Amino acid sequence: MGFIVTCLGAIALSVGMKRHYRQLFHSAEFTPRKKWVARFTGCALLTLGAYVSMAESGTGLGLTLYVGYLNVAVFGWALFLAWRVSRINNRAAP
Amino acid sequence: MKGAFRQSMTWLHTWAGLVFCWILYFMFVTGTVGYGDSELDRWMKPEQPAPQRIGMGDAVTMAAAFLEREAPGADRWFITPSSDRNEPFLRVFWQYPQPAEGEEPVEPEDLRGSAEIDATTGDRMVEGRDTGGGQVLYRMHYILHYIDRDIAYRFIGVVTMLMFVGIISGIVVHKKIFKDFFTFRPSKGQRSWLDMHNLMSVSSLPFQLMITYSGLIFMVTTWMPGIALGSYGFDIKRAQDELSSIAGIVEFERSGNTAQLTALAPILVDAAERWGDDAVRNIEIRYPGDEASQVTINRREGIERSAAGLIYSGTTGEFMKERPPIPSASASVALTMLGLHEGLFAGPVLRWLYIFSGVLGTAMVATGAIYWTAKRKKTDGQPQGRGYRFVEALNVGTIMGLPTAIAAYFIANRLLPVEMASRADWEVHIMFLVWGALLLHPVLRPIQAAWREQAWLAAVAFAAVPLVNAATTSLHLVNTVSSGDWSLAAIDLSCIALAVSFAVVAAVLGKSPAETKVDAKAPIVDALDSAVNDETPVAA
Repeated sequence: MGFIVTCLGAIALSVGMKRHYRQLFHSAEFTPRKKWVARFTGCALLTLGAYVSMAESGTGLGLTLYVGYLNVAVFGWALFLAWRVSRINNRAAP
Repeated sequence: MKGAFRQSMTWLHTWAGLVFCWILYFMFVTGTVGYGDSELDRWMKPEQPAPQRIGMGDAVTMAAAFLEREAPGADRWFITPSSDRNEPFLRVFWQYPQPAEGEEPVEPEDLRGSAEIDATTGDRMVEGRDTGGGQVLYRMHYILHYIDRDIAYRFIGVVTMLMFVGIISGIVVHKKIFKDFFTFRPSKGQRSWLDMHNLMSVSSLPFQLMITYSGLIFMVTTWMPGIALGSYGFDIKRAQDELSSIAGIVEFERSGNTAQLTALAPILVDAAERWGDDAVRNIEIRYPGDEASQVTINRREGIERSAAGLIYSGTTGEFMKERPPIPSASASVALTMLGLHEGLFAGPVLRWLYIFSGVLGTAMVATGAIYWTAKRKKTDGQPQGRGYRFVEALNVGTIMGLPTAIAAYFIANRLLPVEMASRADWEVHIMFLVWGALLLHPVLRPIQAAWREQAWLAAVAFAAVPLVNAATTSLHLVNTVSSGDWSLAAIDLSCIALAVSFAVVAAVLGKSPAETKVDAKAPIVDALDSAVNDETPVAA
């Protein structure tokens, strides 16, 4: 559960950034409201991810697990975003 | 170093990172492999049985009987029951007293002994082939190989400090550390290498900081002995006495009167009542067979490498006192950092996360080294300088060559004759011979071809590991998966995954530049970049 919440937090945080918002929804408008809602949700979920990990496995072990979850979530999501852009580009290419 | 602060930090980051990046890569690769050291030990000794879990009471009784036979008169016995991946078998260690003054001196290795006990027979475990196992690879990350241990340890201390400097200066120079958090733009030449370097570094930053800083803590007394000793007036005996006293260790002497060692199983029952089940790590028996003997039950450590102990009389089994964990806050911080570095407490999930973070660290060093050359590559057709060529060759020979050399180490474990003299040494010699050849290869070949050829070689080498394993032992993938022995299966499966990864890299490197260049047909990527780099406010 801690891992899932951390992944959702990483995704929400990236949606709050213009570059990644456009990578995901390239035609949609990126408004300040969307930006701050996504950033707040991302930060809240990342904090919740840490809490859930600690609740599941104890403070020390949970925190160590959380750092590992964060690595996987951020790196995996960044690769997904890069793959998505290349897919959009391949579709757009003549 | 001149110019603005950030420029100075950029200079520092570049050169602190580059100078020893190949050693750092070696440390990261071997250190990451070290998180699977116990599993590799088992894989490299296929003659040994599967891990044996027996009840704690039976284990200590069996071990005590073994020690009565093998090490009577020893000062100390240590019994470590099989418990988890760190201790797959019942293990014992013993230590004899130092010869008294006037007696013939004895070599230190003759004063101690150790054995793994086969729980089915109560005798020594079958030795199996002579191999360095995972431990040799693991130890290489802090004492290297073929080099005097003290010199290597000090050298690794310098490299670790430069790594720490590299991380801190990297944070300073990274202007858009949050904005670029998820950014990776492939097929954009040096921009892509920088993105990948940043992504690997930032996504695993807490791990990289922890692993480097805790690595420095390991070496603190090597590099700064004066600070610790100076507090005790440079009196080593006084320092040792105080450390023992902090750790709750009380020295005492033999009584000289023989007495039967108490049954150990009831002591373990009492320890379980005080601490709960599965809390015991090992049992130490001081002066077994003497009237003054004591039995200490050491608690399993958590993240912090300090744990409580319960002390009992060795003749009556009566509880004497509890030894608390080290009470000092600074020691607790240091021991927690050391525990985090080693990750011995980690279960399977966390162990894989450690390995994943280690791989990111390895790739961070590799992409940094490649970025250095990508940034300095001359595009006007002018020849590159010797220094540049040297770095390029070292990059290929280390980044691609070292993993291949490790695969060769595994293959050597399976193919060298089991009775061969100095077999364990030759496994390592083969690893370094292969690495040496692969360091030479890019000097003799065009660099692009060298990358491609070594990537294919690494793919073939890792694909060969499970095949050679299947051809030479019964511990092949079909058997390990069907018997649910996932710790051994994971090694074969990891080799297959690495083989596939290197094959993909080789295939990408084999494509012509026109095929890999996406820029020309990437209108949306460019549009996104310009949109993000555009300073105009976002639409309301």
